[in-house]
Amino acid sequence: MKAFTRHIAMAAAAAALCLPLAAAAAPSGPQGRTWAEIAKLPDWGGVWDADWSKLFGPGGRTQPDLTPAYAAKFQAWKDAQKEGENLQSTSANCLPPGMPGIMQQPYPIEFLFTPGKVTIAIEAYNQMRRVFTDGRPHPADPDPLWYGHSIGHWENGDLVIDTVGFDTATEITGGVGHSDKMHTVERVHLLDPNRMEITTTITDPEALAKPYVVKMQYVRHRDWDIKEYICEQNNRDHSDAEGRPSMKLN
Amino acid sequence: MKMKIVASVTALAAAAGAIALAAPAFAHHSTAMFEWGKEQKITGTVKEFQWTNPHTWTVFNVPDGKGGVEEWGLEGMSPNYLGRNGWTKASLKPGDKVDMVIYPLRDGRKGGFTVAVTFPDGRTIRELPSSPGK
Repeated sequence: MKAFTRHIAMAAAAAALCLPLAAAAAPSGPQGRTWAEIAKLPDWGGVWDADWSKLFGPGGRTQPDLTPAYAAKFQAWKDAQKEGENLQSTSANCLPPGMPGIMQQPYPIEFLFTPGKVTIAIEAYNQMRRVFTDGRPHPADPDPLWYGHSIGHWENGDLVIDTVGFDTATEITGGVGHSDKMHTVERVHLLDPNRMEITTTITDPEALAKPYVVKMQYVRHRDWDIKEYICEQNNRDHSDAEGRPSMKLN
Repeated sequence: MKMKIVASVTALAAAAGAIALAAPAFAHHSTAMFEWGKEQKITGTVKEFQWTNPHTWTVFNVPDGKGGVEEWGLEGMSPNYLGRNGWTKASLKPGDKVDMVIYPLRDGRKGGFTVAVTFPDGRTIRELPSSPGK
């Protein structure tokens, strides 16, 4: 717990100083840059199913502290719900949520280690994230992407993922957007051999008054496989441009 | 209006009883179009059971009392979720005469979300947990 607190404090401090967070943390132990090094990484085999109580239970979710400008936008979004708008999301139209929402789905995920890269396979919406662990930096001027540009390193068996370069189409939470300066740091840590915690610290100088920390937990299932999820296979749900829901019956 | 990170229908199943949910909704979509939590029983015959993402779908014929049938469309949990919870693509078959508990659409059309299915021999298979207190 102390380690998390320290990590969050570091994230906050680094954000305040506009330092890249990756520079604030020190790689330690094997980094998985070769097959031989991968053999020394922790065993994250099997698939990891989201603990729904962390997603949906009491105390599982908190609201971010917003800057006045983004708080006003959020209030307007909520006000429009009373008029029947913003009750459905574009994920109902099969658009995946992007970051950070894709890491908060009630479906399992899987970690694939290859030299210099960790790939996260996400069952929901059949998505993939690629985390480069070969020591490369972020691009100086990253393109806007739904999953951003992710670099990672290992700290004594925890994977720390630093991501920048987000498309502003995604949301931090429902009705809470972000700027192109959003920055996430995820610490992937095993609480015990079969329970994983991912602590995500989100900063954005335009949207967030202070770092927003989200904790998810996953339970290992060694005998499960990631299943396909073709959202367009038989999708009858729809959100219109104002977020009004509908369902096609036939 | 983009993604909505609230709660999911799958979570409702997981969170039965012990956990009070703050904001019931889906991962894929919100529950705004349903009268969520208001159980309605309909009795009829399965015409088709579609084992598909992002949701299973049952075409269900309900006698209209005048010698004909009304066709209902019932959304369900994903095959990914149901397949990990004891269901198969053959859990419902065309011709099965069953009682369905659903959460109906708000707009009054003949559709809803599947909560539970009871067969003539009394066997019940659930997609969602019982309502609190039931």
